Amino acid sequence: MEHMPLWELREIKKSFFGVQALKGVSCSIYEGEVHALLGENGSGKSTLIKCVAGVHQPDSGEMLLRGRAVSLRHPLDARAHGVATIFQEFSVVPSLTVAENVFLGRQLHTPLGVIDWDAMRRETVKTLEQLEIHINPDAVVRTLSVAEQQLVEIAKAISLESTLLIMDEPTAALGLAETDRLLALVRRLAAQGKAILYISHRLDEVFEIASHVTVLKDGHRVSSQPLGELKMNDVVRMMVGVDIEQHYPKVSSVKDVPCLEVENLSTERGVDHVSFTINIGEVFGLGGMVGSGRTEIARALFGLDKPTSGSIRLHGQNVHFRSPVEAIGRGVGLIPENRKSDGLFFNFDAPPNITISRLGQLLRGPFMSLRTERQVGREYIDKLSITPAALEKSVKFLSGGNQQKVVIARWLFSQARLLILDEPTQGIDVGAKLDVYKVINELTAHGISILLISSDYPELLAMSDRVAVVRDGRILHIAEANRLSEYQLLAIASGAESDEKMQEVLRLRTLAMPLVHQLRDQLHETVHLAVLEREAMRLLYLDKFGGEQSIAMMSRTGGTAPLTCTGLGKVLLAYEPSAQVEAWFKQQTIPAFTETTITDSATLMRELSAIRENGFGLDREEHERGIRCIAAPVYGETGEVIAAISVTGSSERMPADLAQSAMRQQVVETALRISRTLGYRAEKQ
Amino acid sequence: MTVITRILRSPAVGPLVALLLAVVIVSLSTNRFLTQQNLSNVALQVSPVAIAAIGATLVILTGGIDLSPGAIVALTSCTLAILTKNNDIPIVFSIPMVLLLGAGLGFVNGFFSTYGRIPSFIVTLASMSIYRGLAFLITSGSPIFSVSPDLEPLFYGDFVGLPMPFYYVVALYALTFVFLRYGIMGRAIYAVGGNEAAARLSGIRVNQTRMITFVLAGLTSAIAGVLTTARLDSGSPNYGVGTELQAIAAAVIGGASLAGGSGNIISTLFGALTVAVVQNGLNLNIVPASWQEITLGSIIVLAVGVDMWRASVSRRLGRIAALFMPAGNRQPEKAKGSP
Repeated sequence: MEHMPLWELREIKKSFFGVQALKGVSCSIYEGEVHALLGENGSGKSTLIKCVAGVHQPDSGEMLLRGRAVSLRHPLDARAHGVATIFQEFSVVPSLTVAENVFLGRQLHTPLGVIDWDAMRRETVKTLEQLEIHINPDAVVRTLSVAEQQLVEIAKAISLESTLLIMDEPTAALGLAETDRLLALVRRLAAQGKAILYISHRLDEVFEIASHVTVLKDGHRVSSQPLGELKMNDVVRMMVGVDIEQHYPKVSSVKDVPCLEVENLSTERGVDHVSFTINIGEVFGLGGMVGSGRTEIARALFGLDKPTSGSIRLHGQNVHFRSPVEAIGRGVGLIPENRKSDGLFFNFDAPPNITISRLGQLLRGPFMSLRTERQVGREYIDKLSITPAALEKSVKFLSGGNQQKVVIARWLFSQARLLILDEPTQGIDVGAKLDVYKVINELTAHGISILLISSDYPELLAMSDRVAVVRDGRILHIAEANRLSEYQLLAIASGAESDEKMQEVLRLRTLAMPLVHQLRDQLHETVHLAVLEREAMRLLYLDKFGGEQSIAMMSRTGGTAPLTCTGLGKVLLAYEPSAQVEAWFKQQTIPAFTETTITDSATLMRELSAIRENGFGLDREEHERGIRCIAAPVYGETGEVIAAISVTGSSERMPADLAQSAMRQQVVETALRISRTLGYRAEKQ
Repeated sequence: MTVITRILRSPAVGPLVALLLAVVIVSLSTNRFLTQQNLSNVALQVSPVAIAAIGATLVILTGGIDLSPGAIVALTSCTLAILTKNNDIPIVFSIPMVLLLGAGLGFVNGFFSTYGRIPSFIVTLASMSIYRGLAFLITSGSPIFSVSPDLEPLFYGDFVGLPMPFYYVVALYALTFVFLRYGIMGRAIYAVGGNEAAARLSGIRVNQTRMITFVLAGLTSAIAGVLTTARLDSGSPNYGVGTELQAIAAAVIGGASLAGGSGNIISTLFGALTVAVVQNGLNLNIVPASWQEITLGSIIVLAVGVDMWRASVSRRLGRIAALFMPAGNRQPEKAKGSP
């Protein structure tokens, strides 16, 4: 990039209390780019963005806006220079309307000094429309979902005419569908020329949208480079020195003895005839969208909501908890979603936070022994490798990961036999997540059963033994976690598919999986399985199996892509009736993504007939520059093409002549083997 | 942490400094302050408020507020007078009865503000009016004098050279100190004030805890009522006016946070003494009552302000101190996953 960066940070240094948080960090942020800032908690990310946002002033170093040095003494300075920040904790006022929030602190007024409600509303509508956010500007923010509140926050930032948008963990509180919507919005903003500084713990997200990545560790810049050159493994290694393969160190300790048996449970809060069993030492995952009823199931089990029907049996005995006190008495623990507002006592240091659920254990005669309490505290701080500072500092000052471990310690101490974990790794860094996973393993090894609620689907699938998919308060599907894909989970949870079609897709996915895995292991490249969405005329990725050497690409399980520029899409199109395809081509302009994209319908029709002849299709960097792929059709029982598989990789590693390569043979053969598994009987050619 | 910051951060330091400051200023302003007669007077005067301040502190620790102590003092005082004088009930029975009444009045406050879900400010604002109204009702508005000769020794009597109220105050504060520091219910009170939602999810009976603080507040106000009656040998619906403000002032000057969850009972005692010393000083200097009220209000604001200022000073000192620490100790806490 030869043009001038929007912002250039040079050797920024900043220290607090004699501790150097930033030890000379430099990076450049360009217009129209999504610049990801990565690093563990405490690596200096927050300090850096706060310098750019005018909250902190660097001790030394320069900040240049379009080549001109500026000093930001105050957040308002930063705002005046076009910097808008969306912090982790929302700054929307719940009791005001959307429009009032968007114009908070800078209400428009008429020449008479009276607030101009109409103008504010108009401007808000305009901003929302521009962002394609569908929220009523007159709605009171309190009534909106967390995701919508986040969008309001963004609308507010955008309406400030900002050129740089800083987003700190914007998806931490969002479910998958909401996340997708947000990411799409971020992409649109970048396309409109805004620079976006994006901070997230979710690497998959970063890999999906970022074009440039800066990694910080201990206040140093480890790397700052275009994403295209990076693999996820590398980034994780840079951040923590942990290999991504160790990301989910799942150890299963399920015993064949039920711990919790729930039958036909319903509550007034919308749990609808739910039945499931959790065995001793099992991690039972609840998947579903935010608001699907997962938390409500947990509330009922913990005695917070009264069941209106059904029964709960704990270790073979019927229980009717009327309050958490009773649930805790019987060995049930709950770690709430929002540990700050619902889990921790900021007026205590760690030991009282740990002992609070079982103070009786500290009694010596009629009095609690504070010395015993300290000992207990020290013991758990050691055991869970919580920072020793927790012994004397309020838990307010601990990192998110340490805070979470303090809450887990509470339930270890209270000897819970069944632990409900609601979003236990939300907003904590990779290292601390790993710690939480290890704790989960240790808990189950000790025969504790876990009900795990997580919107991080890869985590949910990797750490659970079985997963139930929840929608509208009902459990729609229970499966072994390793037999469920992220896509299936998403599809069931979102209700995107009709039941019948869902069954079909599930069957396809289940049967194809072993063979697709095999192919991935042979080729070490990313393998996709996709179907055609006829209604929308696009392709839908059923699964994406990343290879060891897989590189960043736009595809995503459950995501969609255009048909005309992808190997998969063209293969799927090739077996649709020609007349329909041609008519469809005529209706619209075929979008161009790279200079090799075929945009002319005659050429495309020729290509499709070639695919039918050869039995495979190619993508010659037609969708993304530097990425090539080869795809082959999968036939169903009736001989129709129902899906396609592809192998995708960077142009450098893919064979020069894909059409003649051994890889082609392997792909076509695997597709055929999948077809046979599905009941395809036709003789080969 | 250095010695300086540790001392500065100790919760009892501020209130103690405030008390000493008040003593110094008052004794400079008049030579009648530091006399044995006056000091024992102050000690006697302060006892009802100091005891009512215990209950006020407990309620404040859970994040609530109780505006009814003054009215409970009046109602229990009148009831005690009526029971003892008009119904000839000996004080060994009538005193426990009014203590029970006080607890009951506190229970009503607690019930409406927890199970009734009305903010405690509103509930006790209303009960403040209702309880005092009841006191007027049962006495037809006129004080009852010469209640019983048995009452006087309770207040003016002494034991081993020290006045009786001294023992009540010390005993009740000691009891409360142990209750809060070593009792499960005491811990629950701090937990509820610190984070109600977390307390509920941790198996604390939040409503029950709140109820208990209100009942204890009613009880301590009733004890204050009995002492007031004994001191003046009379019951009057006009007793206890302003007790709630002085009790809350004692807690706040003692550093209790009105948001709940932080504060300690020994500091409340220092707070109560500070209020008493200032009032005594104003009396000795013949300052009109109106100015006394204004002074008390100003002190409350000052106390909260100083508390804020102290926190920021100790933070700053800590920052400076950190510069002189060996580098190894400087690192803040950091979570490290050991791969």
